[in-house]
Amino acid sequence: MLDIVLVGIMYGLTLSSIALGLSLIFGVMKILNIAHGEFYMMGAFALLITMELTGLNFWLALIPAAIIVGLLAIIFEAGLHPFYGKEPLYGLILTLGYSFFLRDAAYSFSRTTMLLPVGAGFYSIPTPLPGGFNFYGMVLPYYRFAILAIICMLYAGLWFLVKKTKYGMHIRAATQNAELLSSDGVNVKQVNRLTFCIGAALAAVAGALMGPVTTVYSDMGHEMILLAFIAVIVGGLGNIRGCLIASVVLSEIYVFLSLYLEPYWSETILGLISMVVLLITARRR
Amino acid sequence: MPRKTHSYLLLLAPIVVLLVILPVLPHFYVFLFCTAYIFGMFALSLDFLMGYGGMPNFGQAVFFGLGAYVVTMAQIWWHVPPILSVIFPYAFVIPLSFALARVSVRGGGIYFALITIIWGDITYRTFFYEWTLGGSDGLRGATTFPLREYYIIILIATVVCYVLIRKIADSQFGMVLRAIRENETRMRFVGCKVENYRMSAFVISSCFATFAGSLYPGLYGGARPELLHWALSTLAVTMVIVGGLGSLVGALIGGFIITFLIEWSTSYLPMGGGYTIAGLILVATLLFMPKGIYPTIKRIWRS
Repeated sequence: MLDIVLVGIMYGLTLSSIALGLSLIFGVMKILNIAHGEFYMMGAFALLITMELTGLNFWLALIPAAIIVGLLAIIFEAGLHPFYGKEPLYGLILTLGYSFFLRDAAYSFSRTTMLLPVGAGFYSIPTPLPGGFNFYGMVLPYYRFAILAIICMLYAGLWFLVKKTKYGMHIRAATQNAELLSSDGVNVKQVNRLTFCIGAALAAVAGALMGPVTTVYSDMGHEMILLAFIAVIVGGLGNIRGCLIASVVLSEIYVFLSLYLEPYWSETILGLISMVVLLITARRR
Repeated sequence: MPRKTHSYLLLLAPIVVLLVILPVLPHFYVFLFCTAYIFGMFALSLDFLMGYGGMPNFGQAVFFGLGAYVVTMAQIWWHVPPILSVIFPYAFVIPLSFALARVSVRGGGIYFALITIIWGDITYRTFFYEWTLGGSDGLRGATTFPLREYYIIILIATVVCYVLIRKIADSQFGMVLRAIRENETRMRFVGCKVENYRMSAFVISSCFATFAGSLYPGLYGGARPELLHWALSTLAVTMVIVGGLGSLVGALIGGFIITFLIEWSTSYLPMGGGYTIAGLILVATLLFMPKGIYPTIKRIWRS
């Protein structure tokens, strides 16, 4: 039982780092980034390519993977400039275009590339930390604890950035009132860029960390983003603590349901939960 | 109303052209045009909801797919004659879309988009994994019609769809819908029941999407779970945005462009790549021509 709880927490934290990025970006820029799952997928691919090209080990390759995706995100953020302060629908549809482009390009790339060993689009990363604790007959893999530790460290860093630095103050101010912030002489565009970059890098690290647990393929982000949307609905867009709690709780539900039901039912039930939550809380939003 | 007759005459010209080219079109292109009409109708239904109602539905493909599925089921399980089977989907779609509209409209704004994505994916998964519903293979065995006759049927259906949606959009109902899109708070103050109008628009639009879907098995001989997938819903959004949000002719044009692009890329590009180009076109349209192709062309023509 304990190992399943642990799997649930592990999935929950990786899910939360996507949901948190979505929520952060929505809070600051008022744009729902549909292409966020693609950043998750690109993180895993960036990690694979870095490992293959430079021969770095897994842990060191996480850093360039996050940086590559963060820098790419800055390019994509440039396209969003005309849509700040407009109706959120247009920004959403623009990121939808990004999502189409990135997912299909990754599909073609992963099937034809010469950079990676032959995998026909599906790649697996060997676990960087084999073995596990023996806990009363259950084996708890070390790697899961490593994922927990890294994501907790990331969150500590994010907390420090948002709560203790000047940039963090700007980010918090932008969620309240971006116009007022810009009239105070702060470059809001730069704040937006930074937020988008941080959100994408978070998703990329989550994708890279999940690489050894799941398969790396072009649709992996799409599978994850739907769960992230559910988490975001339950937790509330722009509400960071809510997203974190909702992701972990929903993942526990997901993992335990998968034990007893056919796997696709667990996602259906999560979706139904989110619909019920939306119906109950709709008036208060 | 001289201007109205003028616009209907303008509508007649492309129909005549499309009928005249029928005998000289090669078989492949007749097929392609039929597909384009079906997806054009699908884009029309979404344009009504998005452009007039202001509701970006990312689960519209559910109704399209259900249309195709129920028509196939009616033919192969309940042995209904092909022509009659077109009526059956509405018995399932109207209650379902009422329920979904009730949930989604309550959310409003960005939550509407999110919740439609989620129930769209739930339905897709159910059809994809449930082997009693055909599973990942879908259902096959629906009657296909002779292609050139079917071309004329679909062309007429498209025109009927267009005229009906145009009528609804220009009616008082459509005007209230547009007013709600422009200023929801004010309409609430006036005493208009905003939720009811939105739900009706949602159900009407889902019925048109179902109609488009119910013509699909006559061409392809069955239904696939991909018809319910999020990718198709978002492709419809792409068609609407590229053609021109809120202009019905634009939605048809967008449907044509995107369908041709996807079919062309699957035939001629080595690794697919249709969605890559569709994504690029969507981004380019939003950045350089945010009103869409048709309204932009019309504005240039006028000036």
